[in-house]
Amino acid sequence: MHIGSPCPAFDLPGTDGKRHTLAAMEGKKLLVLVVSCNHCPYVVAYEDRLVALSREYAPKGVMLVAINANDASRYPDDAMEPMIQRAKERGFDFPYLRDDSQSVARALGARFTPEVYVFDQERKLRYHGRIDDNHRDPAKVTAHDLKNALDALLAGEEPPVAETTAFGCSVKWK
Amino acid sequence: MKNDDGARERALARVRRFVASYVAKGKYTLYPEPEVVENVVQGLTDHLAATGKMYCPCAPLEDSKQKGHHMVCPCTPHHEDIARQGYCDCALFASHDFVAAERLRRGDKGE
Repeated sequence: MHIGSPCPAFDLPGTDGKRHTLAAMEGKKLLVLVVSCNHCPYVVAYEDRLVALSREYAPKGVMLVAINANDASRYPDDAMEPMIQRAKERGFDFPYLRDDSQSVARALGARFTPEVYVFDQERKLRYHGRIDDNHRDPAKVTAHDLKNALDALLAGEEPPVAETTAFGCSVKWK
Repeated sequence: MKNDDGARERALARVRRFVASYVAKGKYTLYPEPEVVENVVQGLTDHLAATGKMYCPCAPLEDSKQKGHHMVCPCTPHHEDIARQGYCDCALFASHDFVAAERLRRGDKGE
């Protein structure tokens, strides 16, 4: 997916028992889709940072949504029930959705977990890539790429870097 | 601290030698994004330094320890993963066909 591309429409079930659609998120200034999962150690390393980021930016009109598209037949930890458990354990205050058909992840062109897509109010892609440059240690992060993009877009400016290389586990395709 | 740094440097050198020698065998090549490859190399190094084995960084370490050598790089499932999607689940090794297709997709002439 190229910068400027429209966000693919989606209608996916969440760990909260509800369905979540792109249309229902209208009005949010920015939409952050995080292609995520349960079992990937890189995602696990970022979970606290994602929760903190959601809490910090939600009052500013930013909606974070995590989407798990991994093949749950090969990776049972990525099925909905374990997702519900993980969302409770880690205190996710953002929707955690199951993309069982993998259609949304494919439309996004996702390769890794976590991989981040930031869409503006017109739902055009403005940032794509990694959360930051150090999954191992938050204290050693030198490039807060996602936060920098959000801050710039909220200020009406271009993200300083619009695309970075995402890294993590590969999406588990069917 | 210096001893720890030295041990990690030695582990990193060992991982780099292993990766180079595995690619030199010719069946697979490296995933076509150097930043991704380097991240996997660093993850393998972390595991080698901590456990003495190059467990895959894309799988939970405790699960991998239980599975033993199956999840030590080059892991048992990597052939199947590469056959299915063109690259192993950690995105370290990839098929030559996948890399060629990626270069074409990106308009990369190949250096």
